[in-house]
Amino acid sequence: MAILRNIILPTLLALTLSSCYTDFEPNSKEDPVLCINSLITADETMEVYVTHTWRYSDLEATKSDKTVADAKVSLYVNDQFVEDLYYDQWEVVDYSSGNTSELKAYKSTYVPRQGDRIRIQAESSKYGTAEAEVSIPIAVPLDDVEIMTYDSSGYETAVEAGGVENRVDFKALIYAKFTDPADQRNYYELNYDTEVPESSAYEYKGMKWHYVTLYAGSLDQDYEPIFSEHLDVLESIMGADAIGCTFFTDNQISGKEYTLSLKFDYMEYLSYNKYMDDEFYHSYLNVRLASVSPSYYNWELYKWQDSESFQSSLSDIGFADQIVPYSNVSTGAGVVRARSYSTYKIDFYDVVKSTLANI
Amino acid sequence: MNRLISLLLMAIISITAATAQNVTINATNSPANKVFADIMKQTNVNFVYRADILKGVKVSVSAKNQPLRKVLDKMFEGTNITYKIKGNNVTLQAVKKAATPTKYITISGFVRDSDTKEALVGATVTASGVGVTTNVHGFYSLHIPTGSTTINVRYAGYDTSSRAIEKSNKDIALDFALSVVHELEEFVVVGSHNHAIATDSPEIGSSNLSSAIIKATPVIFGESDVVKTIQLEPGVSAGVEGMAGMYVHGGNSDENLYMLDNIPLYQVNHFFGLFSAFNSSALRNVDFYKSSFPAKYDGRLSSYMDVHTKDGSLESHHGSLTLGLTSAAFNLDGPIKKGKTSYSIAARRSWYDVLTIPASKLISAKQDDKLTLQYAFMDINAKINHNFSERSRAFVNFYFGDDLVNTTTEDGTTMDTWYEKDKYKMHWGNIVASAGWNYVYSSKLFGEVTAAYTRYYSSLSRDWYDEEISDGTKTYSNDIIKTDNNINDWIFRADYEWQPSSSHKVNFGASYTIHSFLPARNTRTLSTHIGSYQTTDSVWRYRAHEANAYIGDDWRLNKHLRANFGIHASLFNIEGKTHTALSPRLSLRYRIREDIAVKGGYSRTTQYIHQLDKSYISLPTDQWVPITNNFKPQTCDKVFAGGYWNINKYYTLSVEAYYKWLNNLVDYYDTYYLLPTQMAWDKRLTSGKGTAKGVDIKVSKDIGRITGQLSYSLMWADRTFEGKNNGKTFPARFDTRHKINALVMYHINDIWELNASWTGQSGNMYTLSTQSWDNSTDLLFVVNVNQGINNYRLPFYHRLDLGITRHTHRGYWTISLYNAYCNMNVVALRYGYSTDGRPKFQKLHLIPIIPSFTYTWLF
Repeated sequence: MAILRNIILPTLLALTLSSCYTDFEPNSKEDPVLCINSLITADETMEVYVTHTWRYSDLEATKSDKTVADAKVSLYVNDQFVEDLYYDQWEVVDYSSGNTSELKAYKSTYVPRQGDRIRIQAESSKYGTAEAEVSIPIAVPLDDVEIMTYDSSGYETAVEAGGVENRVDFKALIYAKFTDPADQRNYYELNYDTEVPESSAYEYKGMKWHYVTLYAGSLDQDYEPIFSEHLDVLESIMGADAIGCTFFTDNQISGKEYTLSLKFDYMEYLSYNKYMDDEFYHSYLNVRLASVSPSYYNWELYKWQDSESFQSSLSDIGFADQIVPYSNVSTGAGVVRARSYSTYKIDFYDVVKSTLANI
Repeated sequence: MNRLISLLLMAIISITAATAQNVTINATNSPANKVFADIMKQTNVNFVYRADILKGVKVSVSAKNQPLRKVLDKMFEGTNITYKIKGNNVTLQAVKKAATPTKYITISGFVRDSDTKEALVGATVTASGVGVTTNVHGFYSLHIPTGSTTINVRYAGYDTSSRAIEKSNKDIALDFALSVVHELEEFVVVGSHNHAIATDSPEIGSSNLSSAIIKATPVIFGESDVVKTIQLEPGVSAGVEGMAGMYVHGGNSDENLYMLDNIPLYQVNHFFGLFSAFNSSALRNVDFYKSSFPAKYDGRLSSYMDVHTKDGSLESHHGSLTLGLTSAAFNLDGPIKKGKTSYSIAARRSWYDVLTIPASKLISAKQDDKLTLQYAFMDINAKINHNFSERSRAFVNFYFGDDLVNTTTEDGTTMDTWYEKDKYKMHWGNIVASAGWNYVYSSKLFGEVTAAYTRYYSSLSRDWYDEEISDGTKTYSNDIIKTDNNINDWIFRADYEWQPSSSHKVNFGASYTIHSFLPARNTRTLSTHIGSYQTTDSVWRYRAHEANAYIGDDWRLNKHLRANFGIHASLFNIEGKTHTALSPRLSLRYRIREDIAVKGGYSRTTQYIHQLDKSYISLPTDQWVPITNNFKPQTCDKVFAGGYWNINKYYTLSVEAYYKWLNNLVDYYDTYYLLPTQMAWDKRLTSGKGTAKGVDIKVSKDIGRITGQLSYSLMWADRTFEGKNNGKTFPARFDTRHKINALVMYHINDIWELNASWTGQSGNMYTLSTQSWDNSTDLLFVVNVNQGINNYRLPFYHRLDLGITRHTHRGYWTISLYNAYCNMNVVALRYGYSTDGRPKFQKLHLIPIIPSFTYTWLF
């Protein structure tokens, strides 16, 4: 939002040097309603989060757990009742921080499949009813993936504990080809994660660690124009960018073959091993092409609009209407999304081994 | 039988006896009844008559011993009195004379300023109980009975001019030159003829604003502005605070037709809407219509504003230079050939960039990113008039308005291994060029033909350059994105005024416009060290043909009833489809007394072109687009009624009520952002309707040292769109339920003027959701439940603006205070947090007190 940041907003702020905010409490009293959130992934059991809305200014409600634990949550697949979901709560660990948090959701025993039309109905004696429907898209395979690595450099550093730390920095350009199915509107998300050989794992203080790590620096989203397709030209000119958004549609490629250009400007392979095992030269990048439901794409688009768009910036100072929130739940609260993955695993064995060999 | 014969003989004898009597009398211009008394003394006759028939009748007769009948013949010669003698009774009767056909003549000519010879628009010309007003060229045509009479010409702010006319059977050409009033007691400050027409004209909701009142109205930054003056009219909402927005009777901002000397303008704002594009030093006066529209106007739903620029003095050179906080304006006019040809030129330019360029460089001097920021606006008005003769005149008119934003950020230097430069440019404006010729074909017919070209343009571009040197190898990329939006119109029109009789004034005309719309053309040029490519949108230009014809008559049926009626026919051809519309107009005035009138009427307007905007300020991203095959022309049906009372020669009270139905409105879908950006622009739009109703009450005083107006308006306005708010009706954003305006201008003496305006109105409507939710995977992203559009009214808005003007022998100083008591009004709401981190609904208070001053040097 460079032009916004640099010109329009400063200009408007120049008018409002002494603009200020005061707190107030609207008289209107709306009742809270049920909210359903879920991200359904094909071939995985479902987790459905049933909560209630709260008054924005209610601090206690904001802090409190809004889970509705006594709801009746029913699952319909292709208009057929399948089961009532069961309530569960469990702890999850954030490995980066070591913190744990508790999740509470309704779970299914049914494992949804690609093509299923899922309808979730929730009923609460206190908050009423809510329902949402979503179809799980069919995954589109990555037909072919071509990898180029370049600008690699290797380092070998002795460590106090003995042995060496091997590091390889490199850049990667990946061309991932797929064919968009014709005769339907398709939505996608390009996703990726890294993976290292299981044999490099070890346990330390009760947690699992690896001798080998692969860090994939942020994807250069400007390099692949389809990631910016949700930006109209005006937004682009106003300085908006697509950073953080790898969702796209088949608007421009409907029924055609398309090759995604994925440019990683910084990849870092790191291994620590006193006695370097050939197995440890392997490290993987999983490129995932997710076919996503319209509700998933719309939700992401709404988030982008609300936080980044020109209109949103203007609405903050009363010069435009607010972005109307997206929801596919009958109460207007929550979003039920779905996706199906196809994955292509890329091994960087060659670039790592050859670079280290040349040190 | 014998009895009958006896009666007849008695009658004959009686008549003979009466008529046989002789009379001697000598009277000159004496009351008739006095003469009868003398006759009765000399005879035995009685005079029998109704008292009223001799009221004021004086007779002259001289007779010496003449028979009675002969004397009576002489007495009543030349009067409408006849007599019958029956017995001793002389019965008098008044007889109606056979009507003789009244002959009429036409007196026509121009009313001008005596010093500058510029036309005075809206001057009232009256004679023999008939009155007309001058048109935009100062021309009048008065159809009156033959005979001696006196013609009076009045124009607010000027001395009344009277001219006696001897009886004539021929049409007369008669020009008037009025002088500015200098007697302070009756000084007319505002130069308006609204008072004069309030109970005379059938129009409702029309007003005429002089340059003087526009300049006198205190406004933000002291930048006098015609639109901000009109914002003080009842029924007109300003929109966002401080902006030159105009939402008339619950309409949208694109439903107002702004014309510069009869030619439409598209871009009517500078500085994102803070100022209007009309330089007040170039203005002569402004006609504004919000309810009953002359048949001449169509193409917008809610209002018409025709801005008339100065013609330029035919006698001597005049000029002014105004320096203000935000801009400087220059105006010069005078004769090119004295008495024949005049010119007028006015220019205005902001000077923010004098500050912003060095300031932005200074601020970013120690930062990595070097910023250069420039914003500027300017406008130029130029006009040349040439009088070929008293009957024939030609003009050339030019307007150029332009806004420019330039910003550059640079990071890195040529000494570094990398360098980045990001340039943004926004450039938008309007050009109008027109030429015309007007001609007095006869004392009853005036006509004008005009050819004009108007161009609106908006260009936005981003030029991003990135360079990197690695291992001695230079790589770079240069990405240039540009979008252009423009409209080019060629307009040909002819307008006529024909006054066939004293009771009819007929306006008729036709126009043809060739439109060329380019809603958006996007170009991207990407150049890298490897190669370059360019993509341009496929041609997306719309061509349209628009034809209009109209006829309207202003008909004085009698001294009570006056009607203004007409019809405007239009057709709009686009994409092979022709849309047609008939827009009838009717306004009736019934004058109960000379000073009291009631009016009523109906109007239909049709709009083929609309503006797409996502904000309430004026941005270069706003696009004017035509209707396409997916949408019907927008229409507005409006009924209105009002009462007018000229309380005395100073004060006028008006009460106007209206109800309007807006159809085929277009707006963006609620969730338009979910639709693909590559989709045609009209696929993101939804069609709907709206209603508005309300009452406007105004008391105004146009004459005297203290002038001004006090107004109140009550309004409801709503919208219903299939693709918005789940199809449910919702209030319009500027559904201003109550609005009070007070404007006072006090002309203290020749040196000092004091002006004040106070505005109080219901807050604008705003969308507020009280309930929130979050998402399981985006926990920090709090969303608000959509509880309806414009469901919350912002707090009551009020503001006082003050201005004081001091005249010197060289010019005048104006010091103004916007929002004098610093009531920082609420313009928006947000979901924020208090300083202790508690979630809070918050109101954004925007504009504080803003002092400003300007100096105008007159020469």
